[in-house]
This record gives sequence, structure tokens and C-alpha cells, in this order.
Amino acid sequence: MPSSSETITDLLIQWREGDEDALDRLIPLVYKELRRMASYYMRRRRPGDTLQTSALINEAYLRLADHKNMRWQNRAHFFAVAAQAMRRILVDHARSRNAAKREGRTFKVSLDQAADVGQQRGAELIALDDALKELEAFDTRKSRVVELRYFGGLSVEETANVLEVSPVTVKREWRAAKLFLLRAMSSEAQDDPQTVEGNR
Amino acid sequence: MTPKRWKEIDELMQAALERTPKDRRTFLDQACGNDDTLRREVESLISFESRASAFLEHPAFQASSEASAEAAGYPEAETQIGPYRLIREIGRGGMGAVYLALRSDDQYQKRVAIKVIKRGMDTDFIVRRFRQERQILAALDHPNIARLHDGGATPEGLPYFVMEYVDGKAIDAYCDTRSLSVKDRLELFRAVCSAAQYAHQNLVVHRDIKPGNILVNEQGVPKLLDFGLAKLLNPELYPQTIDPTATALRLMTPRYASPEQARGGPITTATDVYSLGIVLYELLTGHRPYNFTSESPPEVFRVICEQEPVKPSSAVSRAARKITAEAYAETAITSESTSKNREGHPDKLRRRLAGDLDNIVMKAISKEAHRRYQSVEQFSEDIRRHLVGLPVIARKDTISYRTAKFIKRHKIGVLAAALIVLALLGATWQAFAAHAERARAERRFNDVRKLANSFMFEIHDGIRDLPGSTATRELLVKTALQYLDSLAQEASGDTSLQRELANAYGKVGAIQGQEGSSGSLGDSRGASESYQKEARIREALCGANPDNVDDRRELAKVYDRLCWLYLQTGRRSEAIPYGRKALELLEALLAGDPTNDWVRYDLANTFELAGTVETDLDASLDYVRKASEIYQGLLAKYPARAADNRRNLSRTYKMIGARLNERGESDGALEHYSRALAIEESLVSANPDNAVFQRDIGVTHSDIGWIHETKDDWAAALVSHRKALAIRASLVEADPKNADARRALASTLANIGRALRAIGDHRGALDHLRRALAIREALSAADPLNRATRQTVADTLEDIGRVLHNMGDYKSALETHRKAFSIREPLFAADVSDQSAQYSIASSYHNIGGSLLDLGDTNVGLEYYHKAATIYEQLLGSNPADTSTSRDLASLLRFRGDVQLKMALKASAGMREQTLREARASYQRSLQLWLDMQSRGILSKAEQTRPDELSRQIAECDAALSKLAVTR
Repeated sequence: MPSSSETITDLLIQWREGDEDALDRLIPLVYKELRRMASYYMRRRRPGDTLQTSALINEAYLRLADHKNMRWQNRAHFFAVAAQAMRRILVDHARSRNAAKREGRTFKVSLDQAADVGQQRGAELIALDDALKELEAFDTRKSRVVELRYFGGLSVEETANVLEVSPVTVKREWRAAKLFLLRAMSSEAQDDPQTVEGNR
Repeated sequence: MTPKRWKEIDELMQAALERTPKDRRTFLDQACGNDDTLRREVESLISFESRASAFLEHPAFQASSEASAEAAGYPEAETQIGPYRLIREIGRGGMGAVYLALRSDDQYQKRVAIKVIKRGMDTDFIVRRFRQERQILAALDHPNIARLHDGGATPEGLPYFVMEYVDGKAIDAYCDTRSLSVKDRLELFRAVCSAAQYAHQNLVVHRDIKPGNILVNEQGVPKLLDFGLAKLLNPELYPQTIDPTATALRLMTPRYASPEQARGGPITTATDVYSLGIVLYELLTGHRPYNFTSESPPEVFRVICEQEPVKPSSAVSRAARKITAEAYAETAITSESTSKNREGHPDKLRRRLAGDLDNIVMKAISKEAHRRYQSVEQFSEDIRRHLVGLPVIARKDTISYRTAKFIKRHKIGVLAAALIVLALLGATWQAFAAHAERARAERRFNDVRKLANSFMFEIHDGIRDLPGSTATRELLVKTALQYLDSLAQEASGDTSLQRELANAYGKVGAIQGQEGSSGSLGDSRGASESYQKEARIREALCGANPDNVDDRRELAKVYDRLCWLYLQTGRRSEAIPYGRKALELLEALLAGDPTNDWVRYDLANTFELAGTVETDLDASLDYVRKASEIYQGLLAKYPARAADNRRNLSRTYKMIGARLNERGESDGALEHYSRALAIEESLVSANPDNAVFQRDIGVTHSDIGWIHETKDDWAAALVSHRKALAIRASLVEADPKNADARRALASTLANIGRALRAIGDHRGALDHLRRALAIREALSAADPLNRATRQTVADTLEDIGRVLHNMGDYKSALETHRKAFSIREPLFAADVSDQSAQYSIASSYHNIGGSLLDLGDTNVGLEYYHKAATIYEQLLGSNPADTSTSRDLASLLRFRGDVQLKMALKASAGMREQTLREARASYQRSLQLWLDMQSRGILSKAEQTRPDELSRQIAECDAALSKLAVTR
């Protein structure tokens, strides 16, 4: 797919150079591809397989980006974008399932066979997403660490590479972010009747 | 919460977390003062610490997929599937479960392996893949490949496949439990190679070779399993093939995946060469060539594509350190344990691996596919050569070594200039890739383009003719290509960048190939790749700008270069269409604008080339004369470019001379050559440091020597060849790595050898020919694709064989001629329309026949003579003026007549008449050929007597025949 890979490359460069609009145009492309591949992967899953997030993202990367043309910086940023996309995929999916359940319908999307986000986990994911949004508001770096580590499946070193900070910093941010999110989610769980319902 | 407030909280929390729970209270007392809210915030966050370590520990997607892992749905033991009864599960692989099963017919009980696909997995994709595996496997019949017997679906609708059951161990475990020596491991490995080689011949690439797929049974026979990932090279052979764009990395075991698999690039037999190389690495060292610090794809990608593995011999010594790094090592690997299994002592193993085996393995696992062995066969053959003590093809990549040597030869100024450009190139490119300022990056990028051009065109041209510059230029080429390939990805639509790129590829191709510059590197495959890239870019440019004369002119030029390159590497039939395309383009351009002397100049160049490619002598002369006329006109018109045009003119004189000589007009030939020589000598005296002009004179002396040879004036030939030798030896001495210079030296050594043979100095002849052979064999090993170089190896062997024959050592002569034939035969088969290849084959038959006849094997000898004569006649039929073929055929027939006459005299009365008639026919045709040559005035003094001699022999036959008639 030469045309789309070209766009991805261009958009990545533009985004890296500070054009936030480029990210908006980039996300749908990656999102689409990841969704497509998530279902592709999960249909072919066999027992004992653990599907790794980063494997999935790498697959998207191989398909979308013209890797020969990109240096590590580009690759790193690709993972950052992909992690954001992954977050949207999973959270959107969890929200739509939640909505469908409340309306008493069975809701079938391709990701049903695919991500199969368990129902409790669905609620948890939504809570996490909300908490993460809260964190984002006053500490972007921590929220990005979480995004890369949890949604992107990147290791501490890879995250450090993407964010251009030291691994020690990533570890510290990760630890602090988790404490914040745990607290935010536990208070949400008390307030949010939906989650209680979901846990029954 | 404000960012500022959060920052305060965050810092305190981090600081508190650094302390033990006991110290935290005191710390917070102090740090928070009386800000109670701050303290509550920090404490409430810290209170979640115990839950934090498990929280978000598994990435989102991975965690969610585990929830849905369900029962496998594989059949139980004792289940009956068709005629097979499952005994037990013996393993689970990427596609399903494998069972040991028995075929429970009444007839016999046979053990097989059955692979069953899991329930719910019967998507189209998997089924297709299984069908494919069955078809491929069924077509493969080799003792080292596990066979496919059967296939079908279980009553539940699960597809299954029945395969040869291999009761064995993975090859690495097998070697270790038996403590096989390095030699035994190599021999076992070669059996695996033979399986892969067989599969490749059947257009099947395995794509997933690893020790787990190579089982060795009790008898020590290795079997290659699981062609499930194989992709057909020829998709038409089988209708169903998997999506070629499917990336292999996810299907692969990363340890054995090649860089092209990691990148999703094209998979070829070179991929299997790579994986086999990794397997061999592990078998020899007990270690993995790569250390993955994590299994994450970016890490795997980086390691496979970028990390240089340590040499096997070094891996052995690094063993002790490696275990600590490899937490996953199941059993401790030490250099002692590794070597105990192989050669006894670590030092002994290290020595055993250093050199050949290091080079062989490292060649097989090169990152770039084209640097690997060209086939598994070649890989295996190199191992064999190593085992029997022959020199191997794999040699160390010695660029840095050569560069170091180059610096020592105090060409520091030049080198420094080149290296500064390289450094700038790297740094600026890096800056472009890494930094955020678009405009600045763009500006710098344009600087890089300019620099790259100056690097390509000025620096390279500046050092091109400097003797000794090959090593630096090789380094420049490597770096330049990396840079160009990355730039090419971004060039589409940008015409000026495309033009620059095309120029640069052309330049690189010229350096890589044998374009006649004094310092070409002799990599014809690399040159052809670069030229093809250039041609593709230029074709696109011409398509987009059909009115642009320069683009079309440049396209003609690259076709011209491709034609020349293919001609030089003995691929005449590939060369011809490119020559034609170039001529067409240029003639059309000149017709459009007859005043354009640039185009006229190019046309002259291409006429020269056409004259070279053309096999018909008259047509060839016609082309070359056209070229010569154009150069002459341009020389008069443009005195400023005199050196260039004079050189061109002298070259066409030589070409005309050569063709005149082939037509038997040696006086005209010599006259043209002396005109050429006069021009060249004046050029050298004006430019004494220019290696190109010296090289030209070397060629001229050599050609003059050759003309004397055809006149049988061997003393004069020797004088000319020795002049050439002096020049060529000094050029090689100045630049020992220069393939062209070495090629030229070998050629002169061989010429002198032939001349010495002709004057009866057999010892001297053998000495010179053997020196030529050594150079040519080395050149051929370094550039195995180059057919012309292989041809010269055969030619030298033939000359040696002739000397041995003259010395009366018919047995050695026969052996040597057969060796030459074994090189020539595949070359001939590769291009049966190539007349020089036909001539060579005929010549081999002629010589083998001659040796056999002198060894007394008359019948077989005459058969070879018959084959040779048939080909010679065909060649003469298509080119009656071909003097050397006429001579060879005439001599062959004369000698054949002699043998037949002798046979006739010994033969029984019944056979005598027929044999006499055969002898007479041989003499008669020979006489006819000599008379023909005599009428064209091309017989040497020694040859003048031939017609008379033959007439006498014919008379003798007639006398014997009439005597027969009388007695009857």
C-alpha cells in the first residue's frame, strides 16, 4: 500500500515537528489498521497463545510505515501513535459493549471475537481511561508513560526512547502514575453505579 | 488540581517513596510543615503502593486475550482417524497438534505422524496453508525431507495430515548428546543442506529452518520437517499460494529470522541460507549469534537488522560471560562444556573455528542477502572445500583493513577529504532525521544533497585514476549506496532529486563494475543492480517529460552501460537488446536535432559498443568505422576536448585493426594499431601519472602481440607481450586490489605463456600460464557471477593442457582439458547462442580428442574430433571469414585424416576401403580450407606448404584405393 505508507511517513514527520493536526489525521489511519489486524489476529488465535500488544503494533507498523525510510526516531514515534490508537480501540470497544448491554442487545463487532475484553475488565478500562484523562490534564508525561507501557506494550527502555528521557525517569513516572490512577479509580468505583452493576 | 500543585505532590511522593516506610513519617512531618492538605494527598497516594506492583503489569491487549483461551479441542489418544489410530500427542506446533499414529490396516502396521488442526481454527487462511503444505510436501521426495503421505478431514471436520514419523532428536540436541566433533557436525549439516538444496531446485523455500525442524534419527539421518511456511518461487506451479505480502516475522522464531523477514522484504532461497547459517553457528559454538535483551518486536527488529554478531571463534571464548547475560539459559554453557562436546579444549575449538569456518558462517548470515552464498549448494560446497583443505569462497570482509592500509600509504589528503564528506553526510542526515525544526532540517538536507554530489562526482573522479585508490572508493560506494537507497524512497515526484539520484546510481555502478576505469571493483552484480536502478528512474523521467532531450540522452547512456556490462560478463544475449534500445533512442534524437554534437558523441560511443556486440565481422567494422568518423569530426571541431577525443579515436583504430586482422588483413591491422599507439604515447607523455593512458598502451601492445601471433611471428609477439607485461605489472603493483589491472596482467602472462609454447620453451610457458591461472582463479572466486572471468580460467587451463600435450604428458593434458571443459559446459548451456562459447566447447572437444588419440584411444578420440568438427563447421557457416576457426578446423581434419589413414592400413580388407575414403574426405575438406585461406592471402610462411602436403596425402589415399581395386 504505497500511498498510505507514504502518508503515514509524512504525517509522522509532520507530527514530530510539532504539527498537532497531523496527529489527528494519523490516528484514524493507524486506528483503522489496528482494528483490522486485531480481528485478523484474534480469529487465528490458538490456545496458549498470548497475543502481545507490541507484536500487534509492530505488525501495523510493518504494514503501514515504510520502515526502510525511517530511522528509530520515526519508529519510536510510530509506537507512541499506535499506543494512543490502541487505547482508543480498547476503550471505545469497552464503552460500546457497555452501552449495548444496557440497551439489552447483543452487540457484535469484529472485535468481539478479537479483543474480547472481559466485561469486568471493560468497566475497569473505562475507569482507567477516565482517570488517565484526569492525569493528562496536569501531567502529560505521566499519562504518556502509561499509554506507552500499558496500551502500547512497550518496555521501560523503549518508552524512555520514545519520550527521550532516561529509563530511571520512566520508572519513577510509571510508579507515580500508577498510584495516582489507582486512587482515582478506586474513588470512581465508589461513585460510579455502572461499575457496581458491572461487577454483579 | 493545578499542574503546579501536582508537581509539589509528585515530588514529595517520589521523595517519600525513596525512603523506608518508617522514615516517611518524619520526612513528611518536615517537608509538609503545616500544609495538611498536601500531606493528606501524598499519604493517600502512597497508601496504594501495595497494589501498584500488580496494577497494569500486563499490557492491555495481552491481558485481555488470555481470558478467552479455551479448550484446545484436539482429539484424544486412541481416536480413529481414517485408517489411522492416534497413539499419543507428541507435540504442539504453530498450526496444531502432532500425534504419533499407527496405520491399522490388516496388511501392515506403519508408524506415522499426524498433524491435526484445532477446532475453530478452520478459517480459510489456515486451510489454505495446510493444503499448500500438503501439495508441496507431496511433491518433495528426498531422503532428508520428512514426507507427506496423506491428508483429509476427521469426522468432526478437523483437517489432518499424515506425515513420515521421524523418531529423532533436534539436531542440536543430537550433536551434543553424542558429543560430535566439528567435522561430524559439518558433515551432518551438509546432509541438511542437500535437503534444502533439493527443495530449492523444486522452487520451494522453507522459510523457517531451525534446529527444532531438523530431527536426526537413530541412524544419524537428519530430516527436515515442516514445509508449512514454504512459499513457492513460482506461483504458477501451484494454484494456491499464501499472500506474498504477509509478513513472516510473526510466523517466525525470531532467533532464526533473516533481516529480510524482519523487514517484510522478499523471501528467497537466500533466506534459507541465512537460517541454515544461524543453525550452523549454534551447532559449532553452542551459542546464539544474537542476544535479544527483550522479545519485543522493535528490539528483535533492531538486533536482526543491525547488530553484527561476533565470530563463532570469538563466541566460544566469550562463553563464560554470556551465561550471566542469558538468564534463560537452561543449562550453563561454558567454553569448557561447549568444547568438550566438540574438540576437547576451548583453545582447540577456537583455533578450529577461526579462519575458514568463521568466514563461512559469517558469509551465510550476512545482513544483505546478496553477500551471502548464492545458493545452499555453494554454502555446502564451501564446507566441503574446507573439510578437504581446499581454499574456500568465503573471505573476510576486509574493507577496514584495506582502508587502514590505505592511510598508511600516505594518501592522507585524499582520504581525509573523503572521510569528512562521509562524516558530514552521516551527521547531517542524522540531524535531518532527529531534529524537529523543519525548515532548518530542509536547508541542511539540501546541503547534504550538494555535498553528496560533490562527493560522488568530484572527490571520486579526483581519486579515480590515482593508483591505490580502490579501497577508499569501495568504502565510498558502500556508504553512498546506503544513502542513495534511503533517499530514493522520497524521490518520487521530485524531478531534480530523481536526476541527481540517477546520476549517482550510475556513478556507483561504474565504480562497482568494469566500465574500463582503472579502478573498478569487479562486482558485476552490484553494478548491474545500480544501473538497473538508474534506468528505472530515467525511464520514469522520460515518461513524465517526453520532450526533455537530456533525459532521453541519459537513458540511452544507461542502456549503453547495461549493454556493455552484460557483454563484459559474458551475457551477450542480454546485452544486445540494450544496445539496440540505445542506438534507436540516439538516432531519433539526432534526427530531431542534427546540430546536437553531444548526442552525436553519445552515438559514436554506442556505435563502438554495437561494433563490439555484433558478431558479424563486416557489420561490426561498419559500426566501428561510423564511430571513428564521428570522433574524427569532433576532434577537429573541439580542440579543447582533444585528449578525450584522441583517446576515443585511438580506440576505434584498434577496433578496426582487430577486425581487419580477423578478416586476415594483418598489414592493415598493424597499420591501424601503430596509429593508435602514436596517439597513446603522446597522451602518456603529456599525463605521466594517469593510469588510464598507461593502461591503454598496455592494451595496444597486447593487441599487436596478438596480431603477430596470428601471423605465426612468435618472436615479434613475445616482444610486444613483454612490453605489455612491464606496464601491466607496474599497474598491479601500484594498486594490487584493482580487478581490472589484475585481469590485464593475467592476460599478458597467458599470452607470453602461449608464445613461449609456440617457440618450444615449454617450461617457461608452463610457468607463465600457471601464474595467469592463479590470478584468474582468484578473480573468479571473488566475482563468481562473472562468466567472462570463468571463461578465462578455462582458457588458461586449455593452454596449460596444450603445453603438457606438447611435452608428451598426454594424461595430465587430458585431465586439464577435461577440467577446462567442465567450466565451459555450463557457460555454454547458459547461452547457446553465444558463438564464443560454442567455439570454446569445440576447442575443448578438439583438445580432449587430441589427447585421447595420442593416448591410443582412437575410437573415443575420433568421436570427440567429430563433435568438434561439427561445431566448427556450423561456426564457419554463419561466419565464413572467421580465420581462427578455419585454421582450427583445417588442422583438426588434417590430423584426423592421418589417424584414419593409419587405421586403414591396419584395418581388415573389408574395412579398409571405407576408412580410406573417410581419410580422404578429411584431407579433402582440410585442403579446401587451406586453399581458401591461401586465396585470401592470409597464410603464414609455415602454412604455405599446407596445400601441397594435403595434396600428397590425398594422392596417397588414392593410390591405396586403386591398389585395393586392383587386388579385387
